[in-house]
Amino acid sequence: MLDSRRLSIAVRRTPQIVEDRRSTVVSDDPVQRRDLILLEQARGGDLHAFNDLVVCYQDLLFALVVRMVPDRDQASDAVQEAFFSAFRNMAAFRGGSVRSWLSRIAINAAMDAQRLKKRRPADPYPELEDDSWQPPSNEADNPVAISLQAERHRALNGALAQITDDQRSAIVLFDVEGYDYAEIAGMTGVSLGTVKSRIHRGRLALRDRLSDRMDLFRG
Amino acid sequence: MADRGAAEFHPSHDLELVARAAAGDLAGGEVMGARALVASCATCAELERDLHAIAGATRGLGNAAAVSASRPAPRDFRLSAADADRLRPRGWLRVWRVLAEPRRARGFGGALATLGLVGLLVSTGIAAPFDGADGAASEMTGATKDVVSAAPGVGPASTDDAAALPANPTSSTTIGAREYSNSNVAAAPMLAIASGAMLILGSALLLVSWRSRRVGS
Repeated sequence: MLDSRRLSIAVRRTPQIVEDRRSTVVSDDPVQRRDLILLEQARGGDLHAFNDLVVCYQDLLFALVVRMVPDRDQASDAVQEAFFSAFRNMAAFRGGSVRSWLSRIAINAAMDAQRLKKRRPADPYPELEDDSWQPPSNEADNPVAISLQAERHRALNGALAQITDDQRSAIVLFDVEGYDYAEIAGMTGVSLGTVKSRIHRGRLALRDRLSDRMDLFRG
Repeated sequence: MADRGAAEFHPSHDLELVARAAAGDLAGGEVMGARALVASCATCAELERDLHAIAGATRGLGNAAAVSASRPAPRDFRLSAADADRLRPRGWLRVWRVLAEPRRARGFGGALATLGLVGLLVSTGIAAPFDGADGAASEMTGATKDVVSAAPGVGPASTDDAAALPANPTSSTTIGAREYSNSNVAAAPMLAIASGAMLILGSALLLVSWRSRRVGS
């Protein structure tokens, strides 16, 4: 009976392959693996695990948001809101990089903060305060070149704070963060053409604001 | 001389075309047009150089990863237990969150909205004919009464089966039809309400799934 043909067919049938789309896909990148483990634990209700993720990414997200929302207090609020949103939407994480997932949430929070600012216009944004930051330089670097670069950054940050929110976001995401047009279109929910137009017009606006200081940038 | 002439016309030049040329976002005939413009107008040529320089300087500002390595955030964004408690969904909100999970919401919302729409159509379809049936039943009652009074021994009433009917032969058929139609007419509003609710819930889920294309919404 056990050797019946029907049984052997039933036994030989290979199990159906089910695609595993959960976020527990093993990653080669140790940072990503750590993030995924922390996120899984957080999903299981472990607040400490989520807070470990917060500690890992709060500096990065703040640095990202403060470029888009030059008011540091508003930028802080936007980052806090981004982490709240991430906590609420942990179940919706579809796998991939936790870092880029959090970055996208932070970018959305920054854009919400800009919209709020637009709805309640008060003072224009203050100039970005991060002019003290300089890329790591070699000891052999010329101090004149370093101070020139600092001056250039200060002027550019000041001009960035004066252009429209949409143009600033597009330029920051494209030029500074290195996202491509399609990614920015996906993040901001506008067409590819609109993204390009915002970048081009934003650069023209920057040039307009920097017209009397262009000697810093030429040559 | 030619440069000076072109520079006079500079205000009318397409500056966005120059900006697009500087970004390398032109294709086909536009490239030739932009090249001709930059070649003929010194101000446009200077603008193109400046835009290149500005784009380069903006890239040099340092992305978030570089900046965050040396500049910590001004405050600690860790969530307190109270924050976590406040943010965790409870009760119906929890059920809603399970349903509104993007992939699930799309399928479930579509199915609910379709069922709701079909239910609404069916409920209006039920109500309409039976409104008519009720009237028809009344008319039939009157007509049968006339027949019975005019010829008591003729027609169906004279058969054995008909003899077994109650004293008033019209009442059983009329009441039966009326009860049937009444029960359906009574069911129609309930079906309509239930279908409407399904349609609203389904549409809400579809809206949620559409909105959730935006990460973290």
